[in-house]
Amino acid sequence: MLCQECRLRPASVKVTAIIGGQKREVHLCDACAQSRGEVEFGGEAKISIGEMLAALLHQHGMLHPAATGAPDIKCDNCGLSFDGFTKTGKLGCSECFTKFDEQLKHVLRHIHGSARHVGRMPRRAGGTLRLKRQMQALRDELAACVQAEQFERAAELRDRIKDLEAAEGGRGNGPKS
Amino acid sequence: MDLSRDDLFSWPISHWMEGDGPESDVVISSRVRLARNVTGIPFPHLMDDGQAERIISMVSQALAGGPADEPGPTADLHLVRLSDLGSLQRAVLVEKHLISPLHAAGARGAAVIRGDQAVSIMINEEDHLRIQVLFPALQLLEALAVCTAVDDALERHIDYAWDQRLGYLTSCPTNTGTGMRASVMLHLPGLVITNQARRLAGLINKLSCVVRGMYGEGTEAAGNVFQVSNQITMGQTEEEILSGLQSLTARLIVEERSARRSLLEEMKPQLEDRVWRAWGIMTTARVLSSREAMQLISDLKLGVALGLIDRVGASLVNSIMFMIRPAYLQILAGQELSPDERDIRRAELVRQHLSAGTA
Repeated sequence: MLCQECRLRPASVKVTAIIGGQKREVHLCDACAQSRGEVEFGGEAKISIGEMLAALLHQHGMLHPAATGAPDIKCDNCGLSFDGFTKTGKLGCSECFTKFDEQLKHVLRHIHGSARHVGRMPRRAGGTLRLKRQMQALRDELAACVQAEQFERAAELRDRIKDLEAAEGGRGNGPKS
Repeated sequence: MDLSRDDLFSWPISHWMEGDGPESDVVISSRVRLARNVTGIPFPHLMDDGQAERIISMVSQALAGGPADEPGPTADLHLVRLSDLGSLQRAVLVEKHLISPLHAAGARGAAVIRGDQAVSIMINEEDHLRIQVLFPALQLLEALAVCTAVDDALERHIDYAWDQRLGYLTSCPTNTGTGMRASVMLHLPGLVITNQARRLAGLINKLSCVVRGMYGEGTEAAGNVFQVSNQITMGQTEEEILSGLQSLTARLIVEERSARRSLLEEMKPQLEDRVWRAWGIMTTARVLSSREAMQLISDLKLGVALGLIDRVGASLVNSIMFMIRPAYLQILAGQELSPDERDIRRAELVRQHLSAGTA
């Protein structure tokens, strides 16, 4: 195997890092390992994100669209192609995340060990989200009431759901969820 | 912008940075940065001039929308377009960690800087917005609190790119999720002298963190100053990420202090010699390269922390670490300088400040 840094000399050193619970290995030749002297203290794999993506997608059986001869996919909003993304490692706009969702899932899981956000949310999105969760809970209860033939309670719930729907409509277009 | 009164360019370090704080014998500073983008508008590497301008005016309006002259997260924030600054001025902002080298190189960026320089927002860097807070010593939670307050204030006016499953959407997938990068700048001479760096590098990687040099990615770790930051931004809350970094930092502090103690016990004369030689060279040298200066400052800083030398205070040593940087030296000289000229000026400046500090 060739050194992943200079790609000239055979690799003789394997550097392993565990990131987000996942092992990542970099193979280097002696010269490159030494020239990275700071490897001593951390030292990051200097493989480009593009190379990492290519290797990753290959591993997941999703070859680069160009390599499989399949037509490349493109974001309708910013025009970035998936091919372009794998070259720079950068997405083009918020819509790219929808367009390249399938491929990105693997990328994100590889980088972070997870593809699900659990942190903060914008207040506005948080408001809409809370409303949606609340409505779902009411709808579930409504269904249960109808099943149990508790029509008085069901009518009450139906009115509250209507109110919430009206409130949600009044919010306009918040960030997509 | 009336930031000049606050020594934006005329002093190498924000005055608040000279203050003391928790664990300041090892931790130089703490930083939290949030990456944010606007829904629908192409990210900076793909956007046109008009879109870049739209982002700048969006931020400027959002800041103006806050209660004027009232203490709040957006109080005393000033917007400056990078195109209005000379290249040396931009470089000084980089040296002060207010903007990144990438940001300084772009022509369409702007920065929002708080009067005390603790808060800055990079506009049109790799993401539309990068809100960052830099505090002295170990104050990660405090920095996050300020950062999120500014974030909330902006979010009232700006439609952030956010997804329920993926979180904050960013230009690079390595930031997607929380969009948060937290880091601590550490002075670890004890671990370097006692050759323990390699062992700890493994620990740092195992805990999903990364080590870099003083000025971030691709910069060398001069003067035994290292930046440790979180690697992952998804699957954990902001608080969980910070507490991971915090406990790793705590561990490094313990290890560094114990290395210093054992050096002091086993080779005090040699350590004293090293510190006093640094003092000797710094107070007399006529030519100092950046690399040599950083090493001497590291030795002196270690000596001050261990009480081996009392001719100079910790805050002055910290300031000197920032004032020897090339852009600041040139701003001070009022002209561009060749590397040789800079080495002469650097030696001069270090001599001046150390003798003034002891007068």
